[in-house]
Amino acid sequence: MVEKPSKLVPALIGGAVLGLLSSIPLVNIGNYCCCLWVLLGGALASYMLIGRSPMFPVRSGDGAAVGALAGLVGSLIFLVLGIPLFLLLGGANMAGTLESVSRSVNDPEAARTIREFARMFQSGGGGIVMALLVWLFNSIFYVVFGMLGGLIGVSLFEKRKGQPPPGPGGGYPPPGPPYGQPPGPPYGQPQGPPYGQPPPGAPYGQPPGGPYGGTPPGR
Amino acid sequence: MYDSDFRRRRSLGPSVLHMHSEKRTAVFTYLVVLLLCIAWLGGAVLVPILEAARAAQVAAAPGNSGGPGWWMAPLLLRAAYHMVCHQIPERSVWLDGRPMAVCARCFGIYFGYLLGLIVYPFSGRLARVDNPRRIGLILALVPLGVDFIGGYTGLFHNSATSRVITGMIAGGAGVPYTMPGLVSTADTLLGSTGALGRIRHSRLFSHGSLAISGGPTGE
Repeated sequence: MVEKPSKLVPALIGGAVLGLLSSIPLVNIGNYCCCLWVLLGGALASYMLIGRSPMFPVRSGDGAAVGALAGLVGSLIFLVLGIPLFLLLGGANMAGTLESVSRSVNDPEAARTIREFARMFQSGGGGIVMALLVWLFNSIFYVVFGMLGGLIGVSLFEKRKGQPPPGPGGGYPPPGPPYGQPPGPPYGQPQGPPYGQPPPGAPYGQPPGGPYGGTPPGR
Repeated sequence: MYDSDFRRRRSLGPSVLHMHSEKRTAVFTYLVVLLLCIAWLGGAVLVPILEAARAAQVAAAPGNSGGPGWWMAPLLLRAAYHMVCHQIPERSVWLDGRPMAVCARCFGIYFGYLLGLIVYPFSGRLARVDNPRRIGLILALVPLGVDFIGGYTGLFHNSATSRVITGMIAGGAGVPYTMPGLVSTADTLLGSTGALGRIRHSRLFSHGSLAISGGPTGE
């Protein structure tokens, strides 16, 4: 029996691509377009899975799984690469964004709190907490959008359709009678006597159940 | 119920068998995706409404800031959507005098996806796990690509309306290419042949107080 190809290598490569592209400053702007790099990484993972599966067509569920795995790998790469870069460069950007938000809030008290919030991000401990929160949010988006990328990848790259699933029975239980019912006679075997022949045990010419006028057995 | 459903699916033949999921799992998946999509789109739309309501409250009673939740909720929502969208105000749809948490094109994609989801059950494909022909997806992405490239290169001036409409076409077309994979994944996890489904349908849950209807022995 031919086994399905492993999803690990496509997920690792797709995840590496999406993690790298999402971590590098300026390049990661692509993610502002509906998580473009994440979708691309998921689609790349499913494309590689299709290439590694010459026997059977890759189902959309497999694409979703490998895309989600790629998103998970990408989030780990973002944790290693992107978070230090975020702390070095992105923290100031985030603080700037919060400053601009505080100006638009139109409430002195809220604006003061946001400015304090922004200063906290620029400090050491607050920055790390913020970076980890960003990573947590990103991980959720990476897995979800990676899965969508995997689904779109299968839709775009998988041309084979209509082939039966691998393995005997396609993963479904073997045919048989419902629970609690005895098995019937094999197909092709008659259940009763052939036409024109009396039932076994009854004398020839006598109806089953006893002679005419007699008491049927069991009464 | 399980057996009759299984026999019906087997009677369809092997090529059709693996294209269908259990209807119950498909409906469950559809409802979950629909709710998530409503929540995702609702969050983007809610941000400007919350901000405007809060601004009106502050204008009416300058001393009453309404608590941190009033301004923290839209701020956090904007930060979350900032991970998937540039949120440039000039390229966004405005509500109550404030931009949405996503740009016009993203809003179009999400809104189109939601509309596609609402229509999807009427196509009769809800329980299918195979994708339609990919040419449909490619064709649906063409208007969005033309609108983006034309606007980016300055060939023509696109508008918020064109960005929303082309996004809606792409988003709506994405439904039949993503839902089969999501249903297939859910079927793998929750269906009678899936890992969780085997536990759910096991004999443990078919006796005594743990009995559930619809299991293999729960008829």
